[in-house]
Amino acid sequence: MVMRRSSAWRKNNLREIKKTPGRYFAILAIIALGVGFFSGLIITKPAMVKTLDKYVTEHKMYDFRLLSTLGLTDEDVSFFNAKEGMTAEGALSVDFMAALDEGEEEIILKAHSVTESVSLLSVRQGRLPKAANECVLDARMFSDDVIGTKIKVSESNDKDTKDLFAYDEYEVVGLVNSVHYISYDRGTTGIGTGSVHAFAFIPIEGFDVEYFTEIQLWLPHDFEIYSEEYEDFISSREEIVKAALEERADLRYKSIVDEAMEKIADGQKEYDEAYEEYLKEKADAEKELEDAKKELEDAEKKIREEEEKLLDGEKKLLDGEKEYLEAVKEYEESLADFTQKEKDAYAALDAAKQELQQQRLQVESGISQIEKSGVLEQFAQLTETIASLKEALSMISPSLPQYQAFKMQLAQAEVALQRIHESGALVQYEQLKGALVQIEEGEVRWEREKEMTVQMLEEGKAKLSEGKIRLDDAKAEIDKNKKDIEEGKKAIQEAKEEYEKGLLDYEKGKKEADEAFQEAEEELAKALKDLENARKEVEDIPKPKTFILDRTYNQGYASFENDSSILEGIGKVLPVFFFLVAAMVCSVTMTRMTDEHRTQIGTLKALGYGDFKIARKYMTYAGSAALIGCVIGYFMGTKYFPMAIWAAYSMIYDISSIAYIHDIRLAVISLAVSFLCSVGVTYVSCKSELLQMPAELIRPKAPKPGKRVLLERIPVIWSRLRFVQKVSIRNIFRYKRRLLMTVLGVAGCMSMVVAALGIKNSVSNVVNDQFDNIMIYDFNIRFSEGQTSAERAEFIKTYKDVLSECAFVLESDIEAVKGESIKTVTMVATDDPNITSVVRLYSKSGNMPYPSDGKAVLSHRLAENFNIAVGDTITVRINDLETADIPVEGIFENYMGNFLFMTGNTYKAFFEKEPSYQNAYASTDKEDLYSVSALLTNDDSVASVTVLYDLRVMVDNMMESLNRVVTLVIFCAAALSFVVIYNLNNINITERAREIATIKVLGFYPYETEEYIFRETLILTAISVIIGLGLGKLLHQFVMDQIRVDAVSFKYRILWSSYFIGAAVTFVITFLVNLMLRKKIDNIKPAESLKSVE
Amino acid sequence: MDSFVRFENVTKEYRAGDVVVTALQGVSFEIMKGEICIILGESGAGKTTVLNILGGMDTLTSGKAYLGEKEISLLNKKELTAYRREDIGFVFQFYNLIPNLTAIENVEIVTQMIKDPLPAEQVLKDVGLEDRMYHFPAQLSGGEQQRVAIARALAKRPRLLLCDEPTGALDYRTGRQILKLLQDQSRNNGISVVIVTHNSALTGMADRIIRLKSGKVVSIKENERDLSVEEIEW
Ligand SMILES: Nc1ncnc2c1ncn2[C@@H]1O[C@H](COP(=O)(O)OP(=O)(O)O)[C@@H](O)[C@H]1O
Ligand SMILES: [Mg+2]
Repeated sequence: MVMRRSSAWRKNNLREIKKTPGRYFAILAIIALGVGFFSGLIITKPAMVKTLDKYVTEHKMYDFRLLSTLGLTDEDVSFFNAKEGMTAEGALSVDFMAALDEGEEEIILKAHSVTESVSLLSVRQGRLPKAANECVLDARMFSDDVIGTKIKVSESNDKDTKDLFAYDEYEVVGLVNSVHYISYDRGTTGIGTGSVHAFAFIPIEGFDVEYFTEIQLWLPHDFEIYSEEYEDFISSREEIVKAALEERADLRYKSIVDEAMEKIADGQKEYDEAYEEYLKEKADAEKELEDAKKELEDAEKKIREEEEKLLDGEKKLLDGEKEYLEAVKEYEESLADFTQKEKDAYAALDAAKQELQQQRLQVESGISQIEKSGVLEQFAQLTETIASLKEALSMISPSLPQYQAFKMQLAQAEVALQRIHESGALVQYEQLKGALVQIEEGEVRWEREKEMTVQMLEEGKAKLSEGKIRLDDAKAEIDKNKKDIEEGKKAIQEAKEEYEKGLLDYEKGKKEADEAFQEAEEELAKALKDLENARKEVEDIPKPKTFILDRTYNQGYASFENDSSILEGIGKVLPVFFFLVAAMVCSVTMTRMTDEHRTQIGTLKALGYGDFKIARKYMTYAGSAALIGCVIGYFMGTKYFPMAIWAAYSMIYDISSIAYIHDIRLAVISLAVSFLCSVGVTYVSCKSELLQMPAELIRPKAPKPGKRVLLERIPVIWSRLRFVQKVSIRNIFRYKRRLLMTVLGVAGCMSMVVAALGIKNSVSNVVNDQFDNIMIYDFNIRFSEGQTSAERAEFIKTYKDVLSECAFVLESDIEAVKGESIKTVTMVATDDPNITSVVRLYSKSGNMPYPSDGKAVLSHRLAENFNIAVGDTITVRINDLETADIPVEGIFENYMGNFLFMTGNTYKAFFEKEPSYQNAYASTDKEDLYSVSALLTNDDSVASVTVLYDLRVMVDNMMESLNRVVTLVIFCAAALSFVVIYNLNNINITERAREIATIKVLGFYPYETEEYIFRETLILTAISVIIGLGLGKLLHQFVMDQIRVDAVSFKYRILWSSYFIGAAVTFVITFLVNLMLRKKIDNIKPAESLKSVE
Repeated sequence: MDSFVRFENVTKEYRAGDVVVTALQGVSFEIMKGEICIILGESGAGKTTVLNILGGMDTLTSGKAYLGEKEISLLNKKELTAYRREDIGFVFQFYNLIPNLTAIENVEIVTQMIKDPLPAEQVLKDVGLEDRMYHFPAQLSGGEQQRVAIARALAKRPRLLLCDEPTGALDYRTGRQILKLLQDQSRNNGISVVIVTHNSALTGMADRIIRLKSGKVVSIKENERDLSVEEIEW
């Protein structure tokens, strides 16, 4: 029985939901929205904190970094390690210039030693280094194609830095994230551009050092980061650690001083020895030189002697030669004489001979004539004939005839012979023959004479030859002597040359020796001075300073807490608002419902149902909707809010994904609030209805009287209104709760959209303001070294066609200090008058001139952070030890980064060095910024060119993530507005079904009928939009106050378009809901609706 | 004399799923111009259905219905709305005033809607509410509310005034006053009036009485001499 009844009861309830899905949905949706918003906003911070906590715990992030100005040793590490509940590891870090690839620009890396028990690395790509010459790089700054390449320790590093590295290059084996770098910030450095590009981790073996720069301490604990427990824990440990660290540092100081003193003593000894050796060496060298000198002198003497001898010889030779020449002359004279004589002799001989010959010739020709004439033969013949004839006669008797012939013949022959005799021819012939003999005798005499002459001549000749031979001998001797002398001369020349060389060598040797001694002396002096200095230095070794840095000194860790709180502020306001609207929606809905059920309730009461049982029906209705809504809202909110917020922050933080957390307390609170807003509100708003007597309930409720509104007092307006308008206006003010619900919801929507878009406006305007109004240059040109004024002029001249403006500056990141807090500020020092054409300084009250000498101007964000006013000073770190207080002359508007501007003189005065103009801010009129930057980069003196437009792109990317949050908020706002408008319309339509039917019967066209309901929502929307304008501005202000992003200062600004979009969104939702509910109005059949009493 | 309202064999069926309810079955009648016609019948007889069809609030299943030369049964939805707007005045049992408008504003709903209405104040004076013009319905008694409703109906100079149980929610005396008002208005302005009632005592004031029973016309009777409201008793 009970079962049956309660199941029927439940069915009744279910039917109620089916009958009024719109209302049920409205309650469910508004609760889901409220809970989603609430839980989402609340959970985001813990979720983010949990995310970091998980990351930090998993990677054993150090709790303390211990630093000592004297460095720390292995013993120090062991000392801390030995302590209870502490894990310590020594670590090293050094900034250096690294070259990644040939030709590429060098970058500044911070090299850390890999720690193995503290501050573990999280490998994103590749692996951890194994060998000492391997390294892993910053996963944020490098992509995985860097794995396998090598980073080189650039030559441009100073020696001390280079010496710290055991190798020249390290192979990249992986990409990592490190707890040292939770956010994108990589810190500043004293080298190069002043800002660290990325980090690198190298095994400790990859460094060549004997000490650590820090000890990282990890204390195992279960406290969540940022929690009070953790902070208490840390501060309780800090004292202990501090004392211990100081003690260790003192020990180290002592040992350093002792070691140094020992070294100095060694040095002194070494010096003394060196000095001794110097003296000895000097003496030796001097003796050697002396010997050499003597030898040279001997040689010189000898040369001189030889030379004298030679001169003598030469003289003798000359004499000999002269004699010889005379002899030659004599000889030649003799020879000539002789030759003449000879010639004469021969001539005489020849003459004699010729005469002889002539005589002979004459004789012979006479002879020959005679012979030729035949006389002789005739004579001979005749003689012979006579002889023969006489004989013949003698023999022959003169009787014979012949005789007589013979005697006659003889007579004739005798006559002929006589005639011959008579002619004289024979005498002549005989004479001739005698002459011939004489001639022949002459000839013999001539021959003899000739022989004598020849002999005589031969003798003369021989004599001459002898003389000649003698002369030739003499000549040979002379020549020999001459040659000897030449040789002697040459030898002397050589000896002389050798001597000269020897002398030169000697002199050179002497000079060298002198110089060497000089040098040695100087060196020794220097060594002595060094020793002095070292002694002084040791005396000056500062007492060690120690630092204990907890996690709050980690930029990322510190800013993360801030950033995770971004929604906290909103979280305080908006959920309350959402729940308020939820409560209103429930109240309005449930009131309407019980109103409708008046009779039914009365009847049930009359039938004996208890108040509670009846009330429970409505509370169950609202409660079940709230429960479902709460569950949906809780899960959606706790998932999508952190997700959306994380989408924005994951660009800043190097943590891969957000941890989703569930908080029972939050869930319970959400549920409790949901029930409060549904069940509680239902009870309160329906109590009066439910507690009435059944009789009262069964009677129709006295209709709520119409009420006059203020506007009616102005008949001019009122009388002009059409009745639909009048009805709408009166209706609006008839149900206060509905009015409130609608206005809250819709104005809320409007204001959230406006605020969300306003945040975007404010953030995007930062970029525009920054780059269109303040930093109006296009390029930041970094030169490889400071530019002289000539180089600057040359550069400007070279690029005057492409660069419209160019101002040379000193730009450096330095640290500004105020109490405990440190902020990085970009210091710009320049005397370049062009600076005002590339950087516009203006304060809230207008333009601001460039600061005067001795003063600086500061960007307003830093001024606000450090609470610095005009006339105050700002403290900046000049180096590790010193700070300077620079008077602040003005505070200028600036939205990105912190800047400190000053003149070159100011810089010189405070930093005690000449400003080095290594940067130039330049603008161009050209369209293509990147071709200009490429052109500039190609200049040999230019190291790098930053195109400021890139920063815009970067911020645009960040805007992209902000868009998600904005979209989320707009979506929720739209949903809120939707639910509220839907609920209002839904209730109004059912409540006024009768009125609608009536006017339909009266002949209203559909649009007029719709207007009757919708005009009201439109007016309400309009009112809400107007309220939302102001509310949105306030909300925007409030939310912007909550958003704290370091280095970026937002200008609170909402564009008109944002208001417009807000209004448009709000109206569109209203129109949309109206469109959806048109059918419901159309479906009201007048004939049916008018039948019954309400 | 030509009929002003004419029903020819009108049948009306309501269909709710498989169930068919026949509200009217072959109903035919005529009403002359300027007549006061009372449709009489028990609850559920189909009186309201007739009125709704006549008033253009409902369509018929078969047959024809005319107002003057206009065939109502042929009008589409939009024309029906225009027809209600231009030609018909309604008076309901529960007045159906807009609670948020004063008496005069409730009349103005109509006067603002059409071209040539009677002045709202004039009509309200005619129905005797010159003193209550600026009161809201909740501040008026039932009779007064019904007067406002009648004023609203009359203000548009309807060709036909339809009244569904106009006295149903009123006490006797007030009911009489309302009927008197209707009769006077009809007589003075020559408006045809159809009054639906289950109270047969009212028949005396009518020119024509149509009796319905279970969706069928039982009888149509023309009164020779219609009584003034003062003369009838119920
Ligand atoms: N919308 C409807 N749906 C179904 N039946 C209806 C509807 N309207 C009226 N009826 C039926 O039609 C018949 C006539 O109703 P009606 O004209 O209202 O009677 P009455 O004479 O009391 O005014 C009744 O039986 C009623 O049940
Ligand atoms: Mg009826």
